[in-house]
Amino acid sequence: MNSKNNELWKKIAYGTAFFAVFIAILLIVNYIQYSQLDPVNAKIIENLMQRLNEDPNNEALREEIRSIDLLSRKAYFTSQWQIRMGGYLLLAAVALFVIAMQILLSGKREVEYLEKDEAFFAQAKARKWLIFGGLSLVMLALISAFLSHKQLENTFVQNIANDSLPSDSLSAENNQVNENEELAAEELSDTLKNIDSLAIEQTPFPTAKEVAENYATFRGIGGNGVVYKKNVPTKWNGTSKQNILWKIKTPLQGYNSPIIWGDKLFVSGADETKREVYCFDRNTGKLLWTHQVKNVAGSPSSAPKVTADTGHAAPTLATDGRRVYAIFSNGDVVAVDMEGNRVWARNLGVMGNHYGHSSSLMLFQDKLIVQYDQKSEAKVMALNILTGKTVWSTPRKVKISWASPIVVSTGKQTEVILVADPYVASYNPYTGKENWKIDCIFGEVGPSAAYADGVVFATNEYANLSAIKLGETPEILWQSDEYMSDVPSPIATKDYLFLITSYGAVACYGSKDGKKLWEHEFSTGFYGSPVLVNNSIYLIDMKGNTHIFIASDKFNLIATNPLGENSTCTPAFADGRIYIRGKENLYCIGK
Amino acid sequence: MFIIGAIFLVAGMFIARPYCRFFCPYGVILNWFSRFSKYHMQITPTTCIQCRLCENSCPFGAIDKPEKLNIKEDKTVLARKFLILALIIPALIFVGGYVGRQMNETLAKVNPKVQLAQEVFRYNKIAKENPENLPENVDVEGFKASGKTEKELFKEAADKIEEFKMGGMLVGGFMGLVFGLMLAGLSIYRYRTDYTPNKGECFSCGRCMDFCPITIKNEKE
Repeated sequence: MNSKNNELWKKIAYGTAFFAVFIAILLIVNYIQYSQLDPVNAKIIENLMQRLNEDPNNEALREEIRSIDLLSRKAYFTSQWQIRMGGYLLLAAVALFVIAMQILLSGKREVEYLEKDEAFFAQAKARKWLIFGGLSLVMLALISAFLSHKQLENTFVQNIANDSLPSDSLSAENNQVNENEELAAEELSDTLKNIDSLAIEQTPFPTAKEVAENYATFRGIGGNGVVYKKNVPTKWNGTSKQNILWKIKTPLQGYNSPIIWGDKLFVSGADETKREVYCFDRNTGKLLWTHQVKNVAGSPSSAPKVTADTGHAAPTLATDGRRVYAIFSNGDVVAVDMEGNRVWARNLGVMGNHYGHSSSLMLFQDKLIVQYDQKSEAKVMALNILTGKTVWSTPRKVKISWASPIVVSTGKQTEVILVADPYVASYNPYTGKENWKIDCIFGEVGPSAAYADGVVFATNEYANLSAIKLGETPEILWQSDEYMSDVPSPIATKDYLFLITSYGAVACYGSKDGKKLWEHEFSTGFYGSPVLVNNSIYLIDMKGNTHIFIASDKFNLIATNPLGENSTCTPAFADGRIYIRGKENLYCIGK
Repeated sequence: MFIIGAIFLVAGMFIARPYCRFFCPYGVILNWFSRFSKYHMQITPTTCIQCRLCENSCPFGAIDKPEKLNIKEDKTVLARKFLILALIIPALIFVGGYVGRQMNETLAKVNPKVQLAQEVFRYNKIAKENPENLPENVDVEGFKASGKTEKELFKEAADKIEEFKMGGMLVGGFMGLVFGLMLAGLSIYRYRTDYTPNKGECFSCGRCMDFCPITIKNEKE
């Protein structure tokens, strides 16, 4: 290559290199400006919009907003175009530079006769560079290690510890600590029972007396479906408004049942985008407050798919008179104070559940019991009512369950009893430690357990009805496969077990021997569960008719009261009142 | 990743196989093992006539030039060097291993699980401090939809960071060994009379042969 050409390519190389650097700098500056531009939310436009809202007839202002908006959008798209064009120019410049350099270097591809090689000095120089390079690398690595050392690990470990410190209590070495905790909690409970005169605010959780006076959870005390209330109505008609004190539409639908504390009644409602907790004045039906469950850390942006007959708010709430607790299909759990202010909220993870989560919440002293039997990693957990932190969490090797926990006192101890394929299991409510489990159930379990006089009853469609006698070693007392339920839970008394089916059949068994005493076929099926009130069983069919019959060895129907609206919920009871949630409305029944 | 790839592509226009020669850890191991190969190409088929035509012909800089005997070091100096190297190589492995172990958190950030845990942690922090401006995060949403709990993710990430202690130590130790051996290579002088391909660095492309007059002569004949 002649020297003239060489010079030309050299100039091209220098020129393109300079041009590429210049364009690169411009691109960076432009990109910084572009990333700060937001034509949709420009502050100046927002301010002008605010002024326009105050003076909507100001046409000049409207025009000004339009022109500024146009300008802002133009600037945005011009920057975008500039970046794109700049990118092409940079690419072209770099390509030309590479070509020029290649031509220049190819011109030099001639064997160069080097001067006498001084290998010794060359190696010594290379060694120095190697040592310098190595030391620099070590220094950089050490600085980086110093800056990040334990930072990330500690963050994660701390998060795990905050979330689940007491879950370690399941390990054997901590059992002693748990026993102490259990004793302490029992002592606390006893103490609290003796100081009923204390103001409510001074106790973290209600006394047994307070709980009995209210209707704090799904199916009353412990979720066992047995309530003790006076003057409960037996006659009403939702169509003719006989004995209907008030009726009000719930803002969002939900299949959860009402709960009561004092003069307040709570339900929840949800759809795919909104989740709400409602508090009504139970005497007037007035909506006192609505708490919107949003901005929960970790909550998924979209709700999981659920079936129409389960919905996003199937689980019934729980309250201890200080706070009300709710759970939704997307895993959000929230605690709201009695005035509707959020106390805490957390997300337990999206439920792996093809119908939608329906297990209701249960309370035991200062713990909120959550049956979290999902597709993977099923567990039962207790959350601290004050903070929402996990107190204990016990993994369960079960399939998805739609049943709810019940808490029963067997005289010797208090147990949380859960039903899911393949077993009925009991847990210590203080520690989460499994007391016992018996394999006797299978399928998609919907009905919760029932308990009376030392016997636990569990059932599921296509499986069986099992009676489990508690004791040192719990064992199956009797089983039957004639009547089984897939949604409503059974109810038990000392002598009888009443089994309700979703297709309308009701059967009564002797609770100790499993002997069938009577059966009756109603014309409409049941989704709501029965409640025993003063020896009468209240049972709502899917059309909203409440059948009341005596809990005895003979079928004795007292009344059938229409609501005038479909219902799949379980009623709530107070002295002289019944509260029923229909598909759309909430009813108060009384005289 | 794309930027680094582009840099290597552009650099490859001027420097032959830059990644393979200077950054690939497997290349380092291949280099070591190639040195023990029994058969290797030669530049000249007979005796080198020291014409120096092949001197700069190798694009990989893999031709060792002749070293003159007059710079041969005395035995005492050699013995001292040997002793220093015998101490310095294990020391460099140790230092490299220690530094690598300390670097575990920095290195662990390349792990997808640790990255996801960091994302979830940052997301939660924003949700707590500034819930009104919670940005959409596809990774976090994907994680939520998986049904796994945050506690499990954080535990897995913490375990992964712990695993990187061992990984970092091994990588650091290896780099220490590489530095040590390079230092040793630059401290020992081998005496050659001919231009010979370096067994460790030569790719046997044979380009140097085209510069050898003896080869050309043989081919013509």
